[in-house]
Order: sequence, then C-alpha cells, then structure tokens
Amino acid sequence: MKNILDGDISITRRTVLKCAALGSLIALLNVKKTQAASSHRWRNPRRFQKTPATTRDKDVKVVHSVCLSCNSRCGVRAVVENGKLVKHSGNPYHHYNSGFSPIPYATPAIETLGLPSPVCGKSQGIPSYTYSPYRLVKPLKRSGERGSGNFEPIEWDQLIKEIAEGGKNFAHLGEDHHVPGIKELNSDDPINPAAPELGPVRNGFIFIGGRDQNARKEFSDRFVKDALGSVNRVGHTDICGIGFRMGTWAFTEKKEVEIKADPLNAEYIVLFGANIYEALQPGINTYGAIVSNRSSNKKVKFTIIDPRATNASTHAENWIPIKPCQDGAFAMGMIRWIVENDRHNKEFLSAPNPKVAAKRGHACYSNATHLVIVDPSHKNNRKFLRISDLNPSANADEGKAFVVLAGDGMPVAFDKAEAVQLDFAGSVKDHSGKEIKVKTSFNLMLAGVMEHSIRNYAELAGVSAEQIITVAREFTSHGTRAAVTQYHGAGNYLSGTYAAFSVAMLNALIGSVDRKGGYMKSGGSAGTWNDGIYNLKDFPGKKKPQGVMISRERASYEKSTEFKKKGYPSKRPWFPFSRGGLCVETMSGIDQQYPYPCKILFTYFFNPVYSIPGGYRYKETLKSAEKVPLHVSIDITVNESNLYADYIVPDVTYPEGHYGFLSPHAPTLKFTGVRTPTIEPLTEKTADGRPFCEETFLIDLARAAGLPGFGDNSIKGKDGKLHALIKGEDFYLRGIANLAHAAKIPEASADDSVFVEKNYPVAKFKTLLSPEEWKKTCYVLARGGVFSTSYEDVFDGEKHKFGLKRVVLYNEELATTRNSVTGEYFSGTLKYVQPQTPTGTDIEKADKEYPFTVITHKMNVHTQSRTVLHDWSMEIFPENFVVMHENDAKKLSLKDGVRVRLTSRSNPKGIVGKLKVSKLVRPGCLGVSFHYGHTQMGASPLPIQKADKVFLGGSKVADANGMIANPRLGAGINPNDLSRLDEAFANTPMIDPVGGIPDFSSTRVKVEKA
Amino acid sequence: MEKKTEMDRRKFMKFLGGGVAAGVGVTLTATPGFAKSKSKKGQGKPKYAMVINTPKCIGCMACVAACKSENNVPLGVTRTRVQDAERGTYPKCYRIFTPELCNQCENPPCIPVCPVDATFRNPDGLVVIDQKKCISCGMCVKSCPYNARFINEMAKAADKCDLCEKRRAQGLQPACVEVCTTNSRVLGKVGEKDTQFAKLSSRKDLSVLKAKLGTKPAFKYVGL
Repeated sequence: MKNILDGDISITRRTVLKCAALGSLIALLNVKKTQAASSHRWRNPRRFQKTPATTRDKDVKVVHSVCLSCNSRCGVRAVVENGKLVKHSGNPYHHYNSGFSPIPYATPAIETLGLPSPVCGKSQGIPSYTYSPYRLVKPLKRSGERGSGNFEPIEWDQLIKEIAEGGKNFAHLGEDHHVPGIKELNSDDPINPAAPELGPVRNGFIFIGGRDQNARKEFSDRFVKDALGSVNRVGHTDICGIGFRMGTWAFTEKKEVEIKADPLNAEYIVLFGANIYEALQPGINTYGAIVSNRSSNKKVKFTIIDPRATNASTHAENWIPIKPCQDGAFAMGMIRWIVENDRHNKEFLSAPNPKVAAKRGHACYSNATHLVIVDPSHKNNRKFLRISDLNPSANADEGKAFVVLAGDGMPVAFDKAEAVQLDFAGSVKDHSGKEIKVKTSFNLMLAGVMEHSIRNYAELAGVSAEQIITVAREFTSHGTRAAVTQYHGAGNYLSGTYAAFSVAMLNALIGSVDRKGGYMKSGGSAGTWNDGIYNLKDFPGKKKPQGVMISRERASYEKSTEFKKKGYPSKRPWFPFSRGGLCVETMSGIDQQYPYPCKILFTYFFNPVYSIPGGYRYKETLKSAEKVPLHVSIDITVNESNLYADYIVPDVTYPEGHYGFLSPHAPTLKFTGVRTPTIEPLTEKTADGRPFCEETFLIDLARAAGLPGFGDNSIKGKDGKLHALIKGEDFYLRGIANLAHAAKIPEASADDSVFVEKNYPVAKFKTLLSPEEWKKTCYVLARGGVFSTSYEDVFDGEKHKFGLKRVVLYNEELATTRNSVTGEYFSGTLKYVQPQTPTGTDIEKADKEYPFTVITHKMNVHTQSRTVLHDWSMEIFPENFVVMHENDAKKLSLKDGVRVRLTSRSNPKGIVGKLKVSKLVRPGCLGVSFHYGHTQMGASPLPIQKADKVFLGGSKVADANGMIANPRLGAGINPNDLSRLDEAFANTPMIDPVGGIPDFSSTRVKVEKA
Repeated sequence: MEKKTEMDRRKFMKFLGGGVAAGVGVTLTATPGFAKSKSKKGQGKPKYAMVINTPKCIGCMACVAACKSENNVPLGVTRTRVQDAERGTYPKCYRIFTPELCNQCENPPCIPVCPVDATFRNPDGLVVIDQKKCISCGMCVKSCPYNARFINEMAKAADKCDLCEKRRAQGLQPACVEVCTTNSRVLGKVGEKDTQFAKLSSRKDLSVLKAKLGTKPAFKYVGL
C-alpha cells in the first residue's frame, strides 16, 4: 500500500514538475494547482463514477409505485441496487407518465422494462431526499425549553408510555406543568359544560396533517376519529389552495373541489393562476406535457392570466399580467361581454333538468332557469322556489322540486319542463293567489355581473377592456372545446371564493362542463380499497366524533351557545360553507383557545411555521405550554415547527412506506395508482422488528392507551375471521387486496408474481392474504396500480360518464349562510367582492405606504418545503429571488443581483433577498418562490444529544455540540415570513370569511437596498 | 502493482508528448478559453446525433436532474443544462429555454488539445473520454466553446456527456431523452429513415450553436 502511495506521490510530483515546464500553458489555462496536486487518483478511472443501475441490469430490483415528491400522483419505476434506491423514472402503465395514453394494462411487467417513461425533476431527486443525512432515525424528547433545539433520543416504549399516560413529563427540566396523556382525553365528558355543542373532551386532541394522502389519511382517521373520537383530524387544504377550490365548491354545491380543462381535446384554455409548466396536479410531465405538445402542433391555444409570466409563457398565445386578487373582476368582465354579445350557450343554460340536457347532448345541466325567491317578506327568501311554496298540499317528493317558468309563463316543476325561460324577473302566484317575487338563477347571476361595466372590471383587474374582450371572444369561438383551468393563484386570497366562483362560471356560459375538450372533474378511483374482502373502516367500539372542529369549519355559529348569548360578531369567523381542511384557522384556534382549548397537538408531516403565510406568528403559539400542553410531531426531520415540539417521532419517506391509493386529479380518467415501498425502512425498529413510523407509533399508542381498533382482532374479514392490526401492512396490504377484488383484477401470471416477489419489499407480507388474493394483488403491484380504464372509456361520445352532472349559477346554501362576524348574508351567486378581511379591511388601502405586492409561486423542481433536501433541485436553482419588473428596478435604481430588504406592516424587520430584474412580472408586484429560506431541516446547527445516533447521516452531521448544519440548505428567502397578519383577530394570519382561505396575494411590502 | 506503475508511466509519457503539441497549438492563438483549432485531429462524423427542438422545451429541468442521477455527476458541475432567457417587450414577453450538452462536433476543439489522447472518437464516432488516460489537466474543458466539459473531482478526470453509453448499450434511451416529456431532445442514428429524428433532421431551418467557430456540431437545433 505504502509503495503505491509513494509511487503516486512521486508521479504527482513529476507531473507537477513537467506541468511547470509548460508554465505558460498552465497559466493560460488557469488549471488550479489543487487539481494537479491531487491528480494521484487518476489512475483508477470511474472509481467514484460508477453508473447507477438500470432496469436492464441483473441483480437489481425494479418496483412500480407512485411518486410523492408532490401531490401530482405520477407513477414511478424505482431501480434499487443492493438495497439502495438509485433511480426513478416513470411508470409506463400510468396515465400520468404517458400523456394519458399508457401501454395496455395487460402487458406483462417484465416486457416493459426497456420502455421509456418520463417523470419530472422532483422525482429524479428522490434518492438525496430519502438518504438525507438530516433524517431522524430515533424518536426525540425535548431536553430544553421549547424551540431551543435541545432534544435527546428516547426509547420507543418509554415514548409510547409518556404520551399515553401523560404526567409531569418534563419535571426534570424544572417544568412543573401537567402534560395530558391520550388516556386522559378518552372521555365523553363535555369539553365545555356550558357549551355542550362543542363536543366531548376528546376534541382537545388535534391532529393536523401536512402531505397526507388516501390510505395514510384513513389510517390517521382510524386513530383520531374512530378510536379516540376527536373531530379534529384536520388537513391542509387551505394552504394547498382552498381559494380556487371554494369557487368550485360553490359551483358544484359542495361536491367537487377541482375541475380543469381537458388538456387532450380542448382547443382553447384560459389559465387563471395555474402554473402548468412548473407545478399543478396532474403535474408537469402530464398536464404541462400534453398542453405543450398539442400547443406545438397548433392543436390548442392558451392564455395565461397571472401577475407573473410563468414558464408556460414560452407557448402561451398571450400573457395577461393581471393585478393580484382580481381574477374575479376579469372573469366577470368576460361574462358581461359574452352575454351582452349573445355568445353564451343558451341551449345548455336553458336546459331545466338532466333529461333535457341529455337530449341536447350534455352530460350536465345547470340551475340557470330555476326560480329563486327574492322576497324579504317570504319565509323562504333567498331559497329556491319549490312546488311546496306554490302548492302546500303537494306530496313531499313533488313538493321538493324546483320550479321553472314555462314559455307560456306558467310555473312548472323543473323535472317536468322542457322549453323554459332563462332570464326572468317577476312574480308568480301561490295557491292562495299571493304573489311571490322570483328571479331565475341566470337573472340573479347576471345582475351580479352587471353591477360593473367591462371598463370598470378592467380597471379593477389592472388590464385593458380590450384584453378582457379578446379573451372572451376567443373563449366563445370554440364551441364547447374551451375551458378554464384555475389553480392556486385564482383565489388564494381574501374574497377568493367569489373570484373563483366567477372563473368557474365561465365554463357554464359556454356549456363545456362535462364535455370532451371542456371542463371536467376526475373520473374517480378504480375501486374501493377500504372495504370488500376486509373491512378496514369499521371495528367494535368505533366512536362517532361529535361537536365542532377547532377550526370551526363546516359548523354554524348560529347553533352555538356563544351566539345565543351574544349574537354577532363571533370571536373569530366560523366557516359553515367551507370545504374545510383549515390548518391555518386550526392553528389560530389553538392560539386563541377558541372555541375551546387544545390539550394535545399531533402534527404529521406538517410545517406550519414555514408553510403558512404568516406562519411565523405560530412560533409563540407552539412555545406556549398553556396553549399547547403536549405537542408530538411525526416527521422525517427537525423542521421550523417541530423545533417547538415535545416529542418527535421519526417517520419513513415514501420510498420506504406511505402506502397509498391514488385516484386521478381532475380532469377525466379513472384509475388507482398504488404506492408501496420500494426499499426497506431506514428508521430504526421496535424490539419486534417494526420500523419507527407513523403507523407503528399510532398502533402502539392506541394499544397503550386502551383505544379500540388496533392490536389483535381489529380487522374483520368478509368470512367473519378477525385479524390483528400491529403493523402498517396488516391494514394496507389488505387494502390492495380489496382494490384488486373491487376492480375485478385477474390473477397474476407466474412471471408477474415472480416479478413482484423478487422485487417488492411488500411481498414478504404475502401470507397476510390468501394465495388467490395475493395473486390478484400481484397483478396490481406489478403494474403500480389499476389502470384498466382508458381516457376514451370515461366518455360516452362527447359526454363525461363520471362528471359533475349538475352545476349552479345560484347556490342556495351559500345564499343562506351568514358571515359570522358581520351577521350579513353571503351572496348566493356571482358578485364582485373587493378583497377584504372578515371585518372589512381593504389591505391595499390600509397598507398604501407599502408600494409592492408580493406574489408567490412554486418552481418546477420543488414541492412546498421539503424539496430543500433534493440535492439537484438545490443545485439547479441554488437560491430564489425577489423578481421585480425592470421599470420598477429602474425607478428605484436597483440593479440585478443586489440584495434588497423587504419589509411589511407585520414584519417591519423584514427579510433580505437577492433581486432579479425581469420583464416577466407585473410592475408593482414582486415574485418570490417558495422552497427556500429554511432555518431548519439541516440549515441550522442543533444541540441534539447523541446526534450521531439520531440522524441518518450519523457522524457526518454530528459533533460534540450536536447536529452540524449545512448552511446551503438555508439559502434564499421564504415569502411567508412577510405575510400580513390580521390585527382584528389577535394578529393571526389573514383569512377570507367564506372559506377560511389563507391569503397568499395581498401582502404589501417596501423594498430597499440592503 | 507493478502493472499499475507501468501503466502510469505510459500515460505519463503520452502526456508529455501530447501536452507539448497541444501547448504550442493553443499558445499560437493567444486567446484564453476557446480557440479555433487549426488541427484536423479528431475530425469525423458521429453515427448518433440529436436534434434539439428548443421551441418545445418547457424548461422543466427533468433532463438535468435525470442526467445527474444517471451519471453520478458531482454537485457543482453538469453534463447538461437548460438555459433560460426572456424575450419580447412587456407585456408581450415570454420565457425561452435552450437545452445544452456536448454537441458532438465534427471538428472538435477538445480532441487536439488533449495532451494524452484521452479524448477521442469511439467506433460510433462519438467524442468520448477515456478517464483512465485523462490526467485532469483541464485543457479540453477550456477548449470547449459549449462549456460541455468539466473536471469531475470524484473521478479526477475530465467528464462530459457520452449519451449514456451504458444505457444505449442496453437498448435504453439516454436519461435526458427518456425524461423529456415534450420530446425536445430527439436522438437518432445519422441516416436513419422514417423516424421522428429523420423527419426533424431533414428540416431546412436547423442551426447549430456558435456556428462561426467552425466546430460543426453534429447536434442541431430547431428554433435557435
């Protein structure tokens, strides 16, 4: 060894010497001395450069699964070499990796291994995420005050005991307060005896899920709702983009949250706040790819309506740099022009019922012709006129029918009419001859639209009337082969519900709803997974959660004791009409202990301090042992939020777990992608060999706390046999068997079975199923899901078979819901609503002295917060920028690349970022992406004890002081750190009063050179 | 061990010979960085080529990430990239994307400058690097006008795109081509017929990067 080394050195020396002979050349080429000096390693080429395995290599494992680098749900094909995940590509069976045209489902798996299949850059980066040295492998317990970063490892059994039992768990730190355990909350006593409607003490348990998907979501529900009986299993739909979803929610009467333009057959698409080449779900390699390929072939045109020209501007017909928060004004301007120019689809709109609509070739009908009572003296004012209002003696079923006006002016039941009046305002007579003032939904919708002129709308939207007209003309020039795709940007702000409602309405105006090339929802899953052969939903002792969620979503203030005592306003808004998933109002509810205090908070894969606009406000919430007496985080790293937790339970990443049943996003398609592990878990294990992860934790905790539904005899088979639930697979593998059964999947061939048994980690649990069930399950696993229904299969001619079937121009429930702060009714139809806080503050006016509006976006190689661990994402874009329009930069004499400080009313200290001068953003707006500006997840050192044992990176990320940071992970800025808080509500993040929409687009800032 | 030392010596001798020749060649031009090579060494035509359909590129960067993953490319250097730029005047403006990688020049500046002949044409006519021979001197890196080469600190050798040699040998597409969801990167065999590559290659509006340098890249671009 020594000889070689010596030899190396001498060669090196001679090399250097000879190089010196070529001195001028070396100087010229600027070859670094270090390179030459270290060239002793050149003799062993590609020693570090071994090319990773491919699907064609022998002795590798290939697994078809579903990605979770974002929520787009693309298929992946993982290549695993010596137990290590080395590569992701797409899954050719999956619609999302194949432009909606996958290979035939019956193709044997082994024959597909040479087929190319794309997947985006986020998924490519998954090995560095999975093997991040900052991943936790052991559970942690706080060993200093909250937020100090002092943690120490804790044994699994002790962890379970402390959380189940509670007690003075931190007495050794001098903290005398009592920590409630799970057992303590397992009681039906009222949480507030003076307000029994709030439910039992169980509701003091709050579980907030970040990136949670079907399967793990149901698993969490089993613990939170079914076993413990708390109503508070809260999602994060609000920050995910509840704004545009609230518009869809109103448009579909709370049936759907996402509807999109058909990328495969639309001729014209209007994108409102939808970043199709960088984000969206379906993602870049699905929706973006289909639109871009068709756009290159001149088959589709699209318009971007966004304050920022997204990457899709490369193909867009035009970009309309709209003023933030004004998508509704633009859409309403379009509607006004469309109706005034008689370009609306009267055949669609005037169909009073599904039968007539079907005759006219539509799978969907609207309530445009239905009559609404507009008579304050009538008991059913604001509601639809029903047959029972005209004829009280009609039988119950007939009485419920909506009423339309026939051509001859006679009111008739909607389901018995054919030719009816679309635009009507007048009165009808009831049985006693009394007149009732009524208007059709269409008339009411139009009245809302007519409140402003097109020029007015243009002014509000910061565009020209010509721009509105151009888009409206194009939109109405393709029959029903045009639609809107709205996303996060089209409503993620105060008053976003009405903006998004009017954007959705555009599709009704041209009748493209539920039509090929039009506006469509998802076709749904390929089959039920949580029932069938095994009942994964029910178990003896299952609880029925009662009471009001701490977020007040889907609950009426008017039914509360508080209302009965003091009427309006409520202390904080209630959201009876919201889609829900309000993590922001959950956090604010916890902060304000309203409507009741939190006792135990579990956060799963959730980082509110980083991911919520104004989330920095919750640092003080999480610090307070009074507001959060116990905080347990289940996550893969220490992040900006669980830094304040009492316990952190290490979780697996999705290549190791996160079983999932992933049905399609809108539009169209019907399938279920199945996610199973591609590698063995990297976290440590319990004494009986189960990996530390969410499932193992909840199972053991439930057993320790004496909750039902977990442990022996918890899962009932159709044959009456009972099965144990002691590991995740007991639940999930049976779910896959259920799915295969429901979707009538054949048994796998011998080759497919061998493929699964040789490659898939889940195969070692095959004995949980009968041999027949296993063979069918293998068929599904080998293909990464059930993809037997084609794009064409979901259509009956032009009609979407699994569509919305009914949309509304007037939403009765919304119209009869009141703002719990002002006591006023919400509008049931379109209405221009200036963005304002629940108490009526217009931020644009209130923060006039802050001249810029910050708008945010996602980048193509990133998800929200966690892709900071994707090495290549951080390499391709090492930092983010404050993107400013060139004219603004000129005015402020700011040059590209300078560091600027942004300050807002709520963050006067501000944050400092790097300026990028651009044409591709609206003047007055600053574009700042997410993903950057982390202070944790490896970005800061932490005084964690035994860090070399706690982190996956071991001694690479540990020294005597604890965890060593990688400052590179802290690059850039987080725009959420600037977000405006609402002074009227205890300085918590601003939300919209209808849906509880967090505001991503109203914060105003000043910019100065740093 | 002896064998290794022997090999080292041979490489070393080659380095001396090649280095001097190249040194002269480069010094004559007296321009740092790329210099138009007068040497005819290494001229030839690759059997494979790519047409890069830039108007189709959506800048998703999947190719860049896939290449890193496929080829274990260290952080800080890359075999391929996608450049972006802004075009037009506000508000009629938009972003454009240009994928870049080794252009497989017919008249490659990197071959003649290599002092040890570590860069050469393989039987497919592709310009490749024998990392066993490479002494990591960096001359080829400097000579490439397309910034397609780099010193791989892990391998201690020059490195660049080899169109995923191993994948092609296995009948797979190069990593960047496989993940290109818009088919902006189309690889083919020169002279093949009736393929997408053939169709694109026959277009009259193709161009190459930095045509004036006379490197004659075999990789052509649509819409440069």
